[in-house]
Amino acid sequence: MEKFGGYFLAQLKRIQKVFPFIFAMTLLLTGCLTLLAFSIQKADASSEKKQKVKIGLAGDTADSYLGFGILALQKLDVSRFAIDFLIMDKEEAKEKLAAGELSAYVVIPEGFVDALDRGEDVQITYETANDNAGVASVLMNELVSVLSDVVKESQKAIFGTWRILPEQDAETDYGAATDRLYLRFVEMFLNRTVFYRVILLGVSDNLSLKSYYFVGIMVLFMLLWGITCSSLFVKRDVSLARLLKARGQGIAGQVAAEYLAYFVLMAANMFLMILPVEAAFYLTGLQISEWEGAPVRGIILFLVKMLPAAAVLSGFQFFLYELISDMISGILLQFLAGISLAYLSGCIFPVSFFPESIQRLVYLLPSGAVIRYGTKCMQGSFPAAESGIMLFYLLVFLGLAVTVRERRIKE
Amino acid sequence: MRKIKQGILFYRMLSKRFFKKYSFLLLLCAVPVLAFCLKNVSEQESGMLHIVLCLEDKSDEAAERVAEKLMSEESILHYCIVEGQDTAKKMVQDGEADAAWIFRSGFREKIDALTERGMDGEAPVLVLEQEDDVALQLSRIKLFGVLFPDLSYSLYQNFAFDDLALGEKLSHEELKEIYEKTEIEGNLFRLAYVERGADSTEKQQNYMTAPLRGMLALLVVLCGFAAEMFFLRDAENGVLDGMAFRRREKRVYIYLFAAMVPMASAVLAALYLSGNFTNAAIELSMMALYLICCAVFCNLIRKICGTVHRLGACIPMLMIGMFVLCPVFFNLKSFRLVQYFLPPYYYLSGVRTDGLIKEMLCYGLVGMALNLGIDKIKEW
Repeated sequence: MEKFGGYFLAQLKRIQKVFPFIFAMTLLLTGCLTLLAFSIQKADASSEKKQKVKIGLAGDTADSYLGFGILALQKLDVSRFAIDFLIMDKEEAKEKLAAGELSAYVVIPEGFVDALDRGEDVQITYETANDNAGVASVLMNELVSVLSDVVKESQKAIFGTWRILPEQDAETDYGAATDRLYLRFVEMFLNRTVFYRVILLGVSDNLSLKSYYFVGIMVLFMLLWGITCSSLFVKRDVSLARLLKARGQGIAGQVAAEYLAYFVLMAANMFLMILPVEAAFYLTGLQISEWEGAPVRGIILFLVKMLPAAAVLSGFQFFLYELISDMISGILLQFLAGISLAYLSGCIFPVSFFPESIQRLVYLLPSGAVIRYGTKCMQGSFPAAESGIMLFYLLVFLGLAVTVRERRIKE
Repeated sequence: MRKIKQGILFYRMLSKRFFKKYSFLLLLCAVPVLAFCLKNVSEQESGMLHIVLCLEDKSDEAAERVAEKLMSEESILHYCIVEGQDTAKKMVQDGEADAAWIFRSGFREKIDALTERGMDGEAPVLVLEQEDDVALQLSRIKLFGVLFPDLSYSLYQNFAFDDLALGEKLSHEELKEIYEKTEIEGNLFRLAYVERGADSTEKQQNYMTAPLRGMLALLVVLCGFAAEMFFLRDAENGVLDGMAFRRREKRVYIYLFAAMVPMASAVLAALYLSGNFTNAAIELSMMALYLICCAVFCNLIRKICGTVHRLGACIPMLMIGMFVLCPVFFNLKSFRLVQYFLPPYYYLSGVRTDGLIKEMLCYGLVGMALNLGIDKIKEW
């Protein structure tokens, strides 16, 4: 035990040398992550800020019928709560799209309404950027074809009516009859909410989007943080481990002492983040609804509860370092494993975005377990079952680390 | 000539050192394999919003047709059919689904009643959501779109029989036949993507594989950092002691390229296997320029950090900084000034728009000049 204590202290001293610099980097990293949270919130239209999709209208918008249509979309249609239609010229629209101020713009060709009236095949161009900018923008691209089908179906009904009108008396005013049908379609489109009744059930015990992403970003941070210690933990040779073993310091003891020192560093870093995170919340105006009223107490309690998650991820990273004996592979492996697990486990997109096979896989991954554990912690309850899973994963990783080192010493 | 030969020899020696470790080779192979797996996974059924469909009356043909149409369409909305309104409600309440669309019994009759009575009556669909947001509001346009053929026909039928009073001259079957035989061709909207010219109508990238290029680009720059750490370790261990400072600073580029070139090849293979490869000329030229930019960037960072521990501690911060500020997941339009310092920004934006080759060349030249400037100061 004495030997273990001595070795553990020696590891702490090693880590202590680089800690101030690591901490300074962590502060900067926290700033970057806050920016990430902010950009996700801004980019994801399903955020609580309920950001509207902005669509530019360019080209020939001067026609009176079209003008009425645009005015109806801007002032009367229910889509005005989700979409802002802004009239501008094409160049301005192009610039605003490039600057990210618009999700897309529509170009109406010259003489569009007249051409449509003559039955010519004219097209409105919907131009967008293929940059995955938020759910709502991507959804808008799909809705363009929906609108196209709606217009086609309306035309089908109107042309069909033209074909049945000769069945009527010769005196029937075709124009007036068609106008009436047109107006019915316009009325139906503007009153489309009558075809579905929306019932809002309210958020029950689920996390709000912000809270979910806070957990996700926290896990992303912990997954990528492993790279920081690459210079300390990548072991090119195991002669020291062999010597220690010969002097009575067993492999399990060595691994435990090194791991514990690494975990202490990870935990210290986590707690030192409280102040920058609070400052970032204050500056960006972000709020976690679960901590309403007592944000500092909320974050401290959350971080205390997250210690088992930090222990598992430290164990995972420690095991990865045991596998590798050169610097380049060590860093690459940490990054590749960290970013892949973060991506698949829902740190960037919620897991529900992925196919079922991935969702099932995530259930088995340690990072998936950590996210589930984190979301439960955020909800306020103590996740007893998930804590058991955390302990299981920790023991597995440490066991694997001991096995790998044993093999390396024997080689 | 002798110097070039020496450089090539040094490059080969370093490559041997890197490839001697199987782990490096395995990691290189893992990159295209993982990308290929992701591509395969992205082709499976998935969606950005998960919507459950529920039919109150399973024998209702019209409602069944609508649900089947939704299920068979390729969409970023992911649908599944569940039995029972309670199950659908629970899935929404538990966060397993974003919304539930419940097709009520007497679906067709409710539609006819609404179109007949001037949009007054009971809604044929119930929409359950936890909270309403823009994406869900937009998804309801999709719902309206899929209901529209029924609504349009119902309106046409009511107009013919009520307004035009053709009930005695035409039967329901004749009316339906006329409607169905009316063919409308062409699309009112044409979807185009601004990148690579306004006329591009290429298919929208899958949202799951779209960030792949960005993540792979970060791997290349990470490889550069790792090579710098390798160089610093060698310097600490006295491997480069026999070299003059200037020569050593030139040799660091060989370290960088020996590590980054294999990774760049793996990245190109990954892009090809994942279906994100544009064309060989663009990809190869952009990658070559990107390697130069990464080399000068990593070298500058190494010079600023000074030691292997500091550089190691810096890497996560730089990686996450690039992750946020370069168009990997999001195309952040602010912080342009910071973005100009990061090589992945040029590579990722350049591949999309074809227009940043000059900027990348300038970046490389300015970076080299800065490196030389720092070397001069150190020499003094």
